[in-house]
Amino acid sequence: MTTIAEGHEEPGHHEHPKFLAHHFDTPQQQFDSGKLGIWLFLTTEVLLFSGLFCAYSVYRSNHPEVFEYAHLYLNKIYGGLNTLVLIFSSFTMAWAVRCSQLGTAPAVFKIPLGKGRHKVLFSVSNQKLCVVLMGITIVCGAIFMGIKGIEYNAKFKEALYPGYYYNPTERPGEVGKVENTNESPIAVKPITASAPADAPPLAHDANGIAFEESRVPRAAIGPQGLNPQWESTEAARDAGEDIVTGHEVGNEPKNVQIFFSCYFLMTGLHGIHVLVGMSLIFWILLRARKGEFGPEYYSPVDFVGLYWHVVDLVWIFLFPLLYLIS
Amino acid sequence: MTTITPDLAQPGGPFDTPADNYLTHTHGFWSWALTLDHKRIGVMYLTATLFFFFVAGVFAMIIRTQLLEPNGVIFTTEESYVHYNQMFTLHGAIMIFLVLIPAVPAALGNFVLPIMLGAKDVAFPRLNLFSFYLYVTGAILAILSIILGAVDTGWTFYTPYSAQTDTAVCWMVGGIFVLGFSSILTGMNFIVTIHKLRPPGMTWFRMPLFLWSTYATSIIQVLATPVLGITLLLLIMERVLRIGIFNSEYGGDPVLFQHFFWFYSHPAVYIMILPAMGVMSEVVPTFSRKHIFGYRFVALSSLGIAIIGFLVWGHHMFPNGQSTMLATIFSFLTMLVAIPSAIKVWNWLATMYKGSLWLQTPMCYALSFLFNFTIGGLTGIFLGALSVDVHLHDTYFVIAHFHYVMFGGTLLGFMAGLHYWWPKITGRMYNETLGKIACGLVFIGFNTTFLPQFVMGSHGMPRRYATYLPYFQPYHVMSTIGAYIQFVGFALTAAYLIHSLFKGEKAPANPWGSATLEWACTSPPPHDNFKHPPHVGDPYDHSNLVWDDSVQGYVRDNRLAEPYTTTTAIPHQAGGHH
Amino acid sequence: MTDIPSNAAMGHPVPPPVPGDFAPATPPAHSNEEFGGHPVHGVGHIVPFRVLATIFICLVCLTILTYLASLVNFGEMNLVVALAIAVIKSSLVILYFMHLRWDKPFNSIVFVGCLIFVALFISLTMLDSHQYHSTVWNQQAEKVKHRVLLTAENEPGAQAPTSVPPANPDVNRP
Repeated sequence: MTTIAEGHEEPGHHEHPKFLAHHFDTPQQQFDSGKLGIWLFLTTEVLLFSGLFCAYSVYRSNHPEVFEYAHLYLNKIYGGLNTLVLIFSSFTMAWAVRCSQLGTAPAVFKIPLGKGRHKVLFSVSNQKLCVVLMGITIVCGAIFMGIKGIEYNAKFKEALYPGYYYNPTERPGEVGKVENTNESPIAVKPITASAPADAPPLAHDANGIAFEESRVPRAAIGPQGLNPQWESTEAARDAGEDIVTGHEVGNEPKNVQIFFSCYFLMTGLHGIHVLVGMSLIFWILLRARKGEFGPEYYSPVDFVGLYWHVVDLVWIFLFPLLYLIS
Repeated sequence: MTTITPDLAQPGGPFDTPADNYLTHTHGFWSWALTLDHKRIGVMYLTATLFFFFVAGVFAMIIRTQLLEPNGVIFTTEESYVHYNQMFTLHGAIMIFLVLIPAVPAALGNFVLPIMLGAKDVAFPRLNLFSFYLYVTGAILAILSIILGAVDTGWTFYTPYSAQTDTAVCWMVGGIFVLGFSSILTGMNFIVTIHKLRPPGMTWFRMPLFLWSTYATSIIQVLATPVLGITLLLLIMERVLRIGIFNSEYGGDPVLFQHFFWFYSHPAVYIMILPAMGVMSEVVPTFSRKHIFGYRFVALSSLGIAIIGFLVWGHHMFPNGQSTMLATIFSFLTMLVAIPSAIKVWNWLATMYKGSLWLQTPMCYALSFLFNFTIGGLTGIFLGALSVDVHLHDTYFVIAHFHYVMFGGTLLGFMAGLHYWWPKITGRMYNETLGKIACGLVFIGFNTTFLPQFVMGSHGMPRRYATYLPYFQPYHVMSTIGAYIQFVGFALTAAYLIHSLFKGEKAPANPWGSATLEWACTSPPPHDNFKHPPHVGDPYDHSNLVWDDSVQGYVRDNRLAEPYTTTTAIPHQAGGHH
Repeated sequence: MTDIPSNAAMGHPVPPPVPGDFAPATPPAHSNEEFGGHPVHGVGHIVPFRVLATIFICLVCLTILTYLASLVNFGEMNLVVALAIAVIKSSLVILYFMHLRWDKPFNSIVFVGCLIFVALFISLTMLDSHQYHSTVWNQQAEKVKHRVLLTAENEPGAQAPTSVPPANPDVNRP
């Protein structure tokens, strides 16, 4: 009968490999610990983003008209392209992890000729392929950030800033430019005779004076009560009409700045994660070039890969939530 | 069938040379600054938390002195009242984020957890050190915020005021953001350590209860703290970029901030109290000379508290425009937390029942914990009740309740743990008589301070006011006197603990007769904790520990007890098939 | 001595597994013995290339699908459709790219547990915000009206009232 103490002596006759930290008994134990650790870390990443998703959900459910209107500012092509780039980079990263697991064994590229015959194109060490694949991943990350930069630049040019600074020069579906005034953003402009003929009935205060609010920024005013446009479109919806809120009337809904706060915060935090991921992959790439990783020890590649996939995961949700609102 | 590794039966544990311990293993500044040893990191955390405890205590004394007279003693003009706001904000923020959250898990936990588990170190020693430096960075940012314009928002940083005030909110909030990550990394490290580094034989239900409560704490740290991170990040963005997520001036929703904040900060009070409960579960059986009563209930109630604790955050927002339905749900769930907490309290009482109580200083603190925590818990039911809370919200009743739980609970639990493990950490015994006197002073001072506040609060004294109606003066004076008594008590504690470092008697390996593994190594423990993998037995079986006059401590005598053996070797958790 | 060919990356369809000397069938999920009898003494599961490539192609197709779906108006279901596709995509990434399918079950518990907490956080907050907003809005509406009165009093072009927005009496209705 074995006592526990005796059973534990057993790792002593293993040689302690260089990569194995002193407080672990086996590479397997070290790997499993690291794996659990990185999953816990990814959990915290998801929860970090969940705050932004929560804010997004609260504002979208309370101001759907804002999101339906403002997403038209975003370029679906760029968004879609970025999604594909990130997915491809996730694929190359997952492949790189596979290569690092196979170590020095060769990876053979073949073309099937049918009947079980193949033409071997070339073969390369998995270790080298791993480095190349991580390089491709980094390049994809850079392309992603480049496209993101083009998008941001376009937004900044149109002064589509978040929150207080939101002051667009042009609006989707609108003829002509809106004057970009520097007056106090809280100022309220009374209605003048130039209101469009098909404009919905205006809101009125208790004394029966009609008013319209200035564009930016204003207090959160909900669907009920004060937003005249919302009331009219709601009524139209109830009557069964197919109404696209906002831009068709040439009059944007209130609180559009909130959409851009969400947009910049979510994509910004995501972008920071992409940059961090790129640097981490670069660091691992340098180590992989030295041939540090093999079947027994590839956890850094694996863990950085997992991190990169979470970055991809977040974007998989951001793309439909921000770009594809219909 | 062999039973117990022989060297454990020797006095002083398996090591013959206590001269070589973790304190003396290496020397010099860098051997500490770059150490990967969990024990040294724990000691550094302990030093830092004790320092900030002192700083926050000074702020508390200023607050209490100010309130001696209805129109204030220190800040007497209307312009200076803002400094009072800064004082209570700094007291709250420092106590919570720099003292209470790291005190038991990061300081005592780091030191004790791996040894108690029978491991050589935590799973990620480098991460552990990194987490300590994050703590230091966060602390420096917080101190900078005091210099650059102390925050006056209250520790809750409610918007829109926190988005508008011109004090150094960004620095303080940035500091707490960093501290949050320190807390997350510690939590991650502990979860992985408990999962993957348990030696053979250390099954889940053979773990000391301190580990269970630390495990539950770590779950909360990992799941809740990231939300605090994003909340504070958004608050910084709100101030810098005026994004308008939380600020109604730009279209945002201040109540959303409260949801975000309390999603973390309510579970955070369980981050603070759960480890102290773990200390209780160690101290009470040891000093009662009895096996803990209802081991599994105590263990699982920790997880219960952790999980239910996530579902009650809305009870901080009852009068803040929360919907009636949700408030009702939250009120109900709040009542549920009482169940696992009460399970613990009853089990500690049952452990003491017919035990042979040994009233050493740790046990005195543990008894104080029981008394105060019960009051704190029961008054919590008042506040959790929806209608009653509308009356008591933002009054001194809340202050008193919070202090009964956080001070009377967490801090006294921490003091119990500090005294309990002090011989293990430093290798020195402190002066027992002075310890008991100090504990008495703290206990009396604490109750004198906060019992009147329940009365004041129910009579309508609002919190966070620099002045008050003369009607409340007798209560405030009493409260302040109590605060001074506590201060004396803690000063005395500091004095004898520091004295013991230099002049204290050498501590035996097991001065209290505890059965958990950390007492099986020398005091202080050696660098690698265990030369041989320790024998894992029932952590609450004291029956085979006998007093040995020659070492002035307890030693294990195997003849006395039913030998503990396992009939099957338990394969290692992780590397089961090698 | 073979790796599964990477034809997909070169634009060819993924070939079916071909038996024979050159290309052994895809190794079973838990075997590391891909190297002709020399077992790879690794610590984790190796995902076959074929699986990775298939998942990648699925992800690309789903991305195109989600774009096409956004062009069709499903009414209320628009968001549900978009999120459903996103959930499928992310599940593929998690299960295959992140090897959760072959991982220790506890890692799945950790991740799913975290998603449950995210769901609780978002749903409880939304549940509330839908209701308290009427309170907040009414108060802010008062403020806005006040401002309007200050600025609009001496405006000659003000139109006659056509409708007065109703106040919201049932504040905090359940």
